[in-house]
Amino acid sequence: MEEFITEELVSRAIAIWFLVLAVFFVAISIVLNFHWKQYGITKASLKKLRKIYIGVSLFIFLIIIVVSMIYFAI
Amino acid sequence: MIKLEEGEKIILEARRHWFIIYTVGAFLFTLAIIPIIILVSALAIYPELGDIISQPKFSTALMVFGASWLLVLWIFFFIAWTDYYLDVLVLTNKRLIDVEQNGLFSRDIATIPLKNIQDVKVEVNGVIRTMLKFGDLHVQTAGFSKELVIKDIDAPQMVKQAIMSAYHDHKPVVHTKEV
Repeated sequence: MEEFITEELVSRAIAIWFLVLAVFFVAISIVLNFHWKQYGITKASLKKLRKIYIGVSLFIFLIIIVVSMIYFAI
Repeated sequence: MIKLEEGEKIILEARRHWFIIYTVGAFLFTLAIIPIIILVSALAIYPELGDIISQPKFSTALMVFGASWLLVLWIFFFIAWTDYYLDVLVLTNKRLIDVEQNGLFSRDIATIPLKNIQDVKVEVNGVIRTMLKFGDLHVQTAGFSKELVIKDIDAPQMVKQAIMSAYHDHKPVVHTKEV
């Protein structure tokens, strides 16, 4: 029973944590993009910057999603 | 970024030295590896922890939170980089503009007409600053706020010379009558 409660709690914690992380990432990305576009970064540098930032972030998100799916599948 | 007046041209744009963002990056990298160090140390001290960690559910949950930690630190690095990059000193043929970004939602812009500049002082203290050639620029002005301090600027001597040169170019030439 205790094991079930702990597992249930951890599963919900992972789901809620993922949601919080996604919202945080989107909010900060919007603010950062606003600053990058508004304050003097050249178009070529902006493209590179976005590629690196979004690319690595999405890669880490992918790892989180895959590992979470493995967790829920176990 | 800066709205220029008529006939105004940008002479120089100076930012803080790369070492500043490097130290932030190094600090965040250390934060990223600290959980791994703690885990390895805990396993060395309490080998029985290995039985708990090796359970599939526990290890995958640990990986989820570990990857999340990395993502958070990655985002914080870009926030720090944006803060670093948006701190800029712009010298034009008419004024000196110091833009200071404080976090994501605060921005200070100080504008000094060149004619109000009274003195420019460079301060380079410490081994690292001396070797990497960066320091503080103190600009004495005739305005309400007497001194503008720009910290950790790259090549401060060159920036000082550019400001003094722009100031002398801007000063009106006084013609005296021959007696």
